[in-house]
Amino acid sequence: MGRGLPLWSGITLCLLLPAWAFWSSTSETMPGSIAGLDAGNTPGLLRQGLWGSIGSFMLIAATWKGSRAGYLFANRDRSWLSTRLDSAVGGAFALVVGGVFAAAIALLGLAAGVEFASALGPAQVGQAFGKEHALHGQSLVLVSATPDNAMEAAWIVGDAKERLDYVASKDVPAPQLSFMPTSLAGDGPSALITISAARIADGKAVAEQTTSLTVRVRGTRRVLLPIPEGSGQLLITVRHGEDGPPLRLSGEHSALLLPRASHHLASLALWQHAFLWIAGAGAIALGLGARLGAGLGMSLALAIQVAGLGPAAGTYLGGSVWLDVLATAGQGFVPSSWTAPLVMGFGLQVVIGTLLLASALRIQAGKGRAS
Amino acid sequence: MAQTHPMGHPLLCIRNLTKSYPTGLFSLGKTDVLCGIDFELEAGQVKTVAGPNGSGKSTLLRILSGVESAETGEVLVGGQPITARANRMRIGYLPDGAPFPLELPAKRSLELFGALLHMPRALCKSRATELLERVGLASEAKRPIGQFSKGMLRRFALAQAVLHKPALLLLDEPTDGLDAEGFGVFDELLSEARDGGAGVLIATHVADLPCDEVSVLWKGKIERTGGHELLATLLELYRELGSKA
Repeated sequence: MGRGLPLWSGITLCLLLPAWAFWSSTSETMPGSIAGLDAGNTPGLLRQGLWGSIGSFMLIAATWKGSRAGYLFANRDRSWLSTRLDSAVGGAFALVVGGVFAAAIALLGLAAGVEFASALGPAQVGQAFGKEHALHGQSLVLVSATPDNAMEAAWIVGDAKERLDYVASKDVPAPQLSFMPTSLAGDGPSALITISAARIADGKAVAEQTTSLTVRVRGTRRVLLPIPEGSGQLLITVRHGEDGPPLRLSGEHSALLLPRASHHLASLALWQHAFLWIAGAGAIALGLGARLGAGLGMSLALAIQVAGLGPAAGTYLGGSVWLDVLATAGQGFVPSSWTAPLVMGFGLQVVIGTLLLASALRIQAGKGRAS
Repeated sequence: MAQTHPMGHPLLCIRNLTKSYPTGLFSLGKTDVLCGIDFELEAGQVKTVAGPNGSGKSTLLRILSGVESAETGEVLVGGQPITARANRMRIGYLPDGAPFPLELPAKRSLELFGALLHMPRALCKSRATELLERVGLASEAKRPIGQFSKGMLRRFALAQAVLHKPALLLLDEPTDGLDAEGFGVFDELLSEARDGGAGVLIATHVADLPCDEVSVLWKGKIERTGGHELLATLLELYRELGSKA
């Protein structure tokens, strides 16, 4: 205690400084946010700042702790473990699972702290919405359907339409479609598009409502979805109007905005993504530390996660969506949940970490030695 | 919990055991540590493997305990290969140094070791309490092992080696760092293990340890075998062997 600040005080400072910075911000709409966003987005910005700090700190901590634990496992614990374990893979997997659980609990505590901090600050104004990305990074060109061009406008590339399970309720706001027109062909000032939502029963549309609007290339638009009565699945389509220039929509900025029970769910979503990212990094750091040493193991584990931030690594590592998730939270939305590639990427890191750890034990359970 | 082994087999049988480590640039070279070791140990016997530093004593015990693997040769415990799963419960190992989970308290560590050996939970707890009492660490049961002194670590290591009353005890420098009281504890546990039918193999260069037979390891080979009195003449023996090289 006499040598310097305890570790916990450093961690607290790392978290409180961004909190203080955002508490003192005004409730005006921040530049760059979605036009029409309700004022009072301070809780979202607070979450973005705190979780950004948490993510960076915990990533470094997890890879360091993981690689060091793996190194000790291979060099110290092997002497007493290898004489007692029934299975090297079983023992290694137990260690990895323990690390994953520890990361989950630590992050859960931090999530509670973030929500406590956001509750102390200015209250969020407006209904909480969750953001489900629609075009998944692709751009879409809407063109009017003509005899020469029979391609029906679709706003999910590679899929016909977007389907949505939604039952209208008086007390719950309707979903919204958020999109950003990026270009109009030719000199056209605007384009007319039609958004329709149809209830599907037995593969057929049984009720449909449409709405039309004129769009210009001027930032992001949010439109209330026209929701027909009924309880079947909704099929949502965006079509180009009969006339007018082709319109390109940005895939990155198109999303379904679905009402959520509370904006506090944003931290739960952030916890989910942080957990996959950081626990996965820790799991593979365990294995890399066991085989390469603590320092090199940590460096390689960090390098893998940093590489995951870029587009070339796809969407298999938690870091690939982390910045998007933070941005969504900063806009005041609840980020979407895990995707299958993310879960697969996490599972792969757990498997690789386990196998690397097990190989470090060099147990040959059940095998005799040839004479 | 005393283990028995099939009649007709020595408790421990080693045939032509060899082991080398990679050395040199890019690990292209090789250093022979054990060069064709033949050895036998019966139940109820206490044998010592003595030798200077670097003679291969610790490596031999690490192979016998399953921490390392031999390159060639045969190691049988009760007629079964050393790596057979059944043998894991029959071997107790006291390693050199303190390769234990230093973050865990002493009693918790012993309970963990027992659980990994599939000891019943109640037996594990009672045995851990009993052994900590016997090695003089009862008051330190809740203290992390990493805070122990060298002598305390050695006592703890003795306790974990005999936790499950193994049939074969492998002790690497068991008295290193022990005070007079610790020596007494070690003697007591050693006698108890021997009287219980266990075979004990000690790797050491200490002359005072009781044993039935001494084998002197020199540069990876057993150069001399004799009675307990051989330990008292180790220094002269080393000089003699050194002059022959």
